Amino acid sequence: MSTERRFDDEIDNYSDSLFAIIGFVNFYRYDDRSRTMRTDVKVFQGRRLTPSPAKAVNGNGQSVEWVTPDLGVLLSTGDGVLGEVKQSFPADQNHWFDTFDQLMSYDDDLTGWPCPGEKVTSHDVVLLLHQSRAVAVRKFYEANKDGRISFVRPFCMVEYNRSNQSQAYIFFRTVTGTLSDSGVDQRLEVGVQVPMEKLTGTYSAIKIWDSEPPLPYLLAVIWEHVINFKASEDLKYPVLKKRQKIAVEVSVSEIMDELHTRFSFNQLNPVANDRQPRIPKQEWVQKACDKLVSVGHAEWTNRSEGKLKVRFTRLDSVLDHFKEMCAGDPATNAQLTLFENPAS
Amino acid sequence: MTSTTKSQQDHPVAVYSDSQERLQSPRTVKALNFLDAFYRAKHGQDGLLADLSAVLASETADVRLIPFGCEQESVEWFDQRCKGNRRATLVERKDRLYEFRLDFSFKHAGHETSQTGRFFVLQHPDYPNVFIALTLEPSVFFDRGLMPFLSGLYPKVLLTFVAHKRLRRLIEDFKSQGNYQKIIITRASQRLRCQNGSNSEHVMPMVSWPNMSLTEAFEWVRQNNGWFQSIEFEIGDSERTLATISITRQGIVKANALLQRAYEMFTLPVCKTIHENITLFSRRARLARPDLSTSPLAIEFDTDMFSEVEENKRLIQAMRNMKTASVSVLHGNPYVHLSVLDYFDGSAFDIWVLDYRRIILVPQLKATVPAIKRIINHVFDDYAEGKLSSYQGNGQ
Repeated sequence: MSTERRFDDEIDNYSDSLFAIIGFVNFYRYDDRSRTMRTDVKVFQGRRLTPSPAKAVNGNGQSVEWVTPDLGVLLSTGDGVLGEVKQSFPADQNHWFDTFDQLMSYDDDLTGWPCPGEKVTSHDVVLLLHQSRAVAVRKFYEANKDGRISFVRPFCMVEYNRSNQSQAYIFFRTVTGTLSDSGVDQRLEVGVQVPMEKLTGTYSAIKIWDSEPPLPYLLAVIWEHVINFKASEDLKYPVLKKRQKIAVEVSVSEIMDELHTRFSFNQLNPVANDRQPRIPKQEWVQKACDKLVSVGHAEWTNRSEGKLKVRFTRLDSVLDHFKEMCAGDPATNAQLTLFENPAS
Repeated sequence: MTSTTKSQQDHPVAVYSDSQERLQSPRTVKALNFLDAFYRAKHGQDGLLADLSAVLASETADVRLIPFGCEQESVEWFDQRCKGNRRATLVERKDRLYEFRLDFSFKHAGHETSQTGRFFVLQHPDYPNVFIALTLEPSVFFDRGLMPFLSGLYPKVLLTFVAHKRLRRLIEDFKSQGNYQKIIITRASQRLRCQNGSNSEHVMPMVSWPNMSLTEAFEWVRQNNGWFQSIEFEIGDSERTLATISITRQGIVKANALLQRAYEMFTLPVCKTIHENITLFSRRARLARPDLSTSPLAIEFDTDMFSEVEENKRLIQAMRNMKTASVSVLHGNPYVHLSVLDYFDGSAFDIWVLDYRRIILVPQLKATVPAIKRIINHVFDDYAEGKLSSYQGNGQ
């Protein structure tokens, strides 16, 4: 498989996970009767929740400062849902315990929910996983649920898959367990097809979630929505010739702020809170900026302060360009090989 | 149209250079006489069309009507505006009517030729951002002067596009409401969307004089997966031809008679479309909304356009042909997700195909009216025409 094709697969997996999170939380957000999004339901992603003293130390004896679920929903009833999304599982089933350990860390009286008092009455724990691995993971769970794996709170596995008919859908169905919200539970028990088209607005507004994006994808998002945006304010922009450049002064922090405010789950629940980290993370953006510098699109003006000057130029296809740039980089290739997993 | 010296510009008198042999024909001299007389007379916004019609009744001439949208509610800023070798000068303004002189130069037969002509701009009475440029000047003024000048004012000035079906309906309405016995197409310039090899597609221009009836011509173009760039037709009864009129995909009308009717039946409906499009395309940018939410548009098709995966490839290829833009393919099969940047002003869009019958256009942080118009125009020209609407999503 070519490196560029591998990038396509990585981008697909990243996007599919994002679509699955958005689709799943909308079961709670969307009000069927009024056909609008409920404003009394809060959705969050990557939020830092503090474990109870009982779980402040993990099985390896390490202290756990916080847990960061992939998805969180706070209902108007004061109840909630926390979950993890898994597009793929490694071939070695021993590693599957890692995912369940993570989920079990959410099965706790956590502090830091986005509500007064920062606690909920009760909450469900959900594993959102791709349909291709659902049966195997269910069997694994059932074989271990009274031993190595155990949940006190309601635990539910929900499978998802993208399918195409005359419309593209994301299909959701419960694999095992019961959700506390009976309305959502009944729908997911029989399976629901969510038309992707209905969510194009949200899909277009949220491009980054709490998982490191493939580098060419992140570079394209930064280039198109931060660098291009800033460059377009320059008077030369409309008359820029193919090889001409516009200098754009920008910083790692500014890129993080722009993407967090405008292209992350912050869109669904804008909060400024120490518990809600900025997504994308600094190290991802730093890596992307290093890449811009190494391929000659930018230069650091003050690397320790994360300031750089980007030389904006017109690219025919921004994503293709960055796939090509990253494909030629031995470091990126080595990383891809490391993560390549035939079972996923 | 005249060539003038600097001192003569306020009261233009024809002064020809040796390189302007074409202008020295008796017909041109006659034309200049009536043009000069026309410009010396006073015209008002309510009487301009009648005054132009009177000229057409007595002279061999054409009037061109060019509807356009403008980001401002005035075109006074055209005054002293230069675009290339073209400069406009405001001669007079009376309420909604502006009169401009346009000085321009171009190479003709190896010689640099300087010329001058005039055009009027009439603001639409109901839609303050919609205007109609009118000129009685000959083709060279229109082709070498006025059209490049107006096109060069993009994105402040927006010409429109008339969909194929609508063009046909406009001509049919013109015929039926005027009770004209026959309309014969005398000249047509069409673009056929041609398949070239496996995936690439290009739009092939063709010019023909099919002498066809309206129904035959439109059906022929439809069958050949194309659209009319311009169409010229004769209107007549059993005995004589009443007028020769042409209308382009940009809604530009040329008429040698029946001007008032052409204005009412073609130009005013196109003005309404311009107004509706400006309204539909306005405030679509995410930054225009306090919560940064999206405001998508949909292009709907009558048939299951995307039932075959090959259609995804056709659309992607058509979009990749877009000039002065970046087109990135995030997903191409089985659904389509593209990211598009418009390098004219930095507008950005996501394009989705998730239904056999629909393309969804999601404007990003910055999405100007001209950029939205350009991208939709491109889809219509290079892929297929559909019906535009605001898209309401966010449900499941």
